Amino acid sequence: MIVRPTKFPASESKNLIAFFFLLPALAALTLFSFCPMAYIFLLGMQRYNPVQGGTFIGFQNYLNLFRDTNFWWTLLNSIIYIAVTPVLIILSLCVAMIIREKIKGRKIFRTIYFLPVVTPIVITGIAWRWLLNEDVGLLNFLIVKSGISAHSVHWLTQYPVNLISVMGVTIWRGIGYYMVIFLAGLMGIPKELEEASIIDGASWFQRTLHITVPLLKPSITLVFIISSISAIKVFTEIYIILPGAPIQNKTLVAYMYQTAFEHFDLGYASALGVVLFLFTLVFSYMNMKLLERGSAP
Amino acid sequence: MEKSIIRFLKLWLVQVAAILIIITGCGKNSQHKTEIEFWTLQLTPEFTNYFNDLIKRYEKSHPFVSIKWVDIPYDGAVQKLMASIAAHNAPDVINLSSDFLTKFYNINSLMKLNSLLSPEEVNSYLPNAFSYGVFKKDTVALPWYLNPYALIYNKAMFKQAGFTDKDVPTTFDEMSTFARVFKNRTGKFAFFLNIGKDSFLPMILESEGVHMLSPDGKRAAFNTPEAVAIVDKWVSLFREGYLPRESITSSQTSIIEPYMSGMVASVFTGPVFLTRVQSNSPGIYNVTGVAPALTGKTGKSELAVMSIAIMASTKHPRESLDFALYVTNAQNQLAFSKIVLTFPSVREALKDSLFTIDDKSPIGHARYIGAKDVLTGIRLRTYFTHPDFDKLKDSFDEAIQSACLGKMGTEQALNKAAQEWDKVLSGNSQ
Repeated sequence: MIVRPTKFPASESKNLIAFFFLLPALAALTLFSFCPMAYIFLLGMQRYNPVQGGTFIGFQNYLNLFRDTNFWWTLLNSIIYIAVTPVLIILSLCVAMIIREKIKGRKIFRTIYFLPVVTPIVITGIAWRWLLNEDVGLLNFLIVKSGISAHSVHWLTQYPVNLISVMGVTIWRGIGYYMVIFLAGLMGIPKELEEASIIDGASWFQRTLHITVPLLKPSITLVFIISSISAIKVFTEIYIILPGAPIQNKTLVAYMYQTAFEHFDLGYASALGVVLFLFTLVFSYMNMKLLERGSAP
Repeated sequence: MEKSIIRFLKLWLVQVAAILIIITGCGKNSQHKTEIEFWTLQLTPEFTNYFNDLIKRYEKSHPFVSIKWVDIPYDGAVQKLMASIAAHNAPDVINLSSDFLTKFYNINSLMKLNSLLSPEEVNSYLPNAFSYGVFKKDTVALPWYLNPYALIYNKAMFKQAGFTDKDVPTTFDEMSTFARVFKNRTGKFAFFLNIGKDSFLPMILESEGVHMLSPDGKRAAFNTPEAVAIVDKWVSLFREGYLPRESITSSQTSIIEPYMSGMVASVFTGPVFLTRVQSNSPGIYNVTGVAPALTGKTGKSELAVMSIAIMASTKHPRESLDFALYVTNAQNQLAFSKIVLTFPSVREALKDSLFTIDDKSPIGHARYIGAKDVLTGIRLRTYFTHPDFDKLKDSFDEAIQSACLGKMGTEQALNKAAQEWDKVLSGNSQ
């Protein structure tokens, strides 16, 4: 009887090679993402100072969160901020559909729409702060001069107008980025389907509603998830445009930053981070489930 | 195949050996030198030449010491230093502002200098400036350059409104009245003062003789009718449109921008910003006047002090202190004041003609009056020495912002802030 050496089946050895190549990335992710994330859970249960170390206080930081009005206000603002997502989807999809058409100068338009994405947020943020200046800003000048309003709008000081102002900047910056994703999605839609619908007498609106949007569902799902997570995590725009606003006008990440890097209460900031993480996780999961259900036949 | 592997291994061994020789060789050279790492706060590129020259001269006279100079951005300074302390690679000598000193003193990161300084060395500094580096009885920093406050005003705008140099307000109270008259006459803002973010109101209250803290430092003391009356003047000015909207959100570092743009006729800030006006808005600089700091009833004004501290973790305390004394000595401070509109903290340097002769230019006049103010300026906002001073500051600022935006009355805002302060001062804040 001949005993053959055991060999991995072809598919298993392929898997092993794949795992081998994935290992460095996994190691880097574990070291730089998963381990710090796990550590945040531990820090959240401590009164922690980077120099003097920490003392274990159990769930005290989490209990304090429930009594902290700043936490509730900033959480509410983060939830309000998610409203940029549907606006971004609609606007960037519209822009992508217009730019897809063979109109004159579409390359220039594509560049113009993408320009805010590649311009550093610090620069655009400062420029917006000037535009929104309540005493000498261009926006108020136009509003008052054109007679839209007799008084200037308090873009940067009056809550929730100041939050909405920053949301506007996020939308302005995001359109170009999500437009590119939608353009890629639109390229994948077979021309024949649209041509057939035209022959059948479908209007532009009907084509968009019954062909383009359903076939763009994967792109819409992607944009929905990415933009909503970005909205929950928004920080730079708030930091640049509303530097002196009360914390209750800002978002949860801004509060986390203030707690961690201005007050150096890293334990409490970690507890905030854990809540933010759980919130984002649950929100994204619900989004995916909702969108999956919507696409089921 | 085997040959090529052997050739590769040989080459590899030669390279490793060469690297080891270089490393050990370098080690031998550096064994004799003590390296002092020195951090400054946002002083490049304007003063790169000054520091290179300063360090070169020091290293020449101290052949066994080398200085590694690192300049860090002001905004991220605390975070960066905190991270370096946690990672056990903090610098030896560091430039800190007075509020940063508080933070690092309260976590025991600064070396105590009491027994290391001779009485002559202590006495060479201005006592009011030196006191900024003393916490309880611990001396943890040497004063470096100083910034008093001044009123910087636009003479042309004043003239347009029918005012002359003689009408320039000298007290906060006069300014609150002046701001109304000026805007009613011209439609322009007379004055920019931070009253919300980085609020100057605590400074005004202290200068008016109303203390922010109780004598034992355990309670807030600013929720009194007298304090309400003073704060309410400024809140009303804002609500009625006599102060720019930015005055409740602007940070202290951007305070000069409305003045440079010609949006306001005067600003209460450090004369150090005049050089920025000179380079960015020469037209406005040419019509700029400088008056002494506005004060309250007590006549007291505050001083901003930049200090040099030595980290407790330093392995070279003697060399670090020697270098800190060198950076802050009269000769080097005077040389620094000649290139920037700051004031030295040593008596000797203030005797120079740079500070005793008024050449009538905005910068020259600011130097002349500032040199007198630095002798008397004190820390008015004593709560800045509390470990949680930023929580105190934030809660006060936000209460004033709420009052300015009409969410609550001034009295209610001060009561709310006082409650927050009492929590923080008793250690019961979250």
